[in-house]
Amino acid sequence: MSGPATRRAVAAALVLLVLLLVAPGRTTHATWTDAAVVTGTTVVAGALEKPTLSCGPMPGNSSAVRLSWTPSTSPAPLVYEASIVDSSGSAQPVTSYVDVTPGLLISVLGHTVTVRVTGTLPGTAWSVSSDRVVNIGLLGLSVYC
Amino acid sequence: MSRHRLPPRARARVPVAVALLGALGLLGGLGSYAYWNDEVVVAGSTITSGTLDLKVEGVDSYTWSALSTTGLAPGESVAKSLTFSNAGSTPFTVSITSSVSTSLEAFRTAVLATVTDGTATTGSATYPRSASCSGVATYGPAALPLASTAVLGPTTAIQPGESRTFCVRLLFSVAAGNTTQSKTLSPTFTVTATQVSP
Repeated sequence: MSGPATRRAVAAALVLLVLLLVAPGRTTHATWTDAAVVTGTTVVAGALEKPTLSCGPMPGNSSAVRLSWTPSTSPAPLVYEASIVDSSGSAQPVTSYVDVTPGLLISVLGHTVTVRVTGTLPGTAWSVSSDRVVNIGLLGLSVYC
Repeated sequence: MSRHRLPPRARARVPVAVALLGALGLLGGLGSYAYWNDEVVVAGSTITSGTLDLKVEGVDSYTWSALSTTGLAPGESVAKSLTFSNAGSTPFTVSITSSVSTSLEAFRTAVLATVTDGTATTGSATYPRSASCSGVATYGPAALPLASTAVLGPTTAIQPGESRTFCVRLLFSVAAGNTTQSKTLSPTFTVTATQVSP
């Protein structure tokens, strides 16, 4: 071998030797750890109570019916409104009942009509509704359950 | 008197015999060179490794039922805090990650979590229920992630015997839609202590 090549080989051998001697003495820096798992939490959203609609004759008007329900107060008093499904009429605010008279159905074609009562939790987008079908009498002069 | 001479072969054996005799003589005169010695055993020293022991509310794995809530309505919030402590002999820092499972994705995104290094305070126990967390927010308000995500830490070093708290507030967004009714959400928190490097 030539002189420079020999020197390079010797230098490389020395470096390798130093590495072999130093490597076993390195610090590993391993750290201890411990973990605790926290489980068992379940968050359940509430639900609004659907109004259960009862149908009966309207007091004082034998040709009309009254749909009534028990207003829900959970989690807070709901705000109710009633509307006729598939009708262009707007929903009307109600409390615990709505009277369906022949005059209200003057624009409705057919033998039945669906009344929808919707309860809304104030200040939120939550609502719940129930439907009730009522019948229209001959010539549209009366309504019955 | 005639002088007898040993035969050549016998003459060759003489030096060998003399050398052997000399070696035997030397061996017999060798000293033992034994020295007296004595020893004392020093016992009673024990080196015991330290411990790194994290406790949450005094136990290794905690069931956080206090944060559980039923009938949560839009606009309501709940908050609770937990205490974690160093029950070992080694200082450590603490990091907390969280993940969540839910019965409806829209419910997960509607529940906004805030994590702080403080404690919980109840504002109202009736509708609309409200609660808050003191301290510095380290996460949120944001929906808890499905995959494990850091929500607190690492804290500063917690010395043996010391404890810290973290607080979680869950706020049900007032804009939550109808589909979120009766849905569930189950968060999991993993508290990890890591030894402070010397």
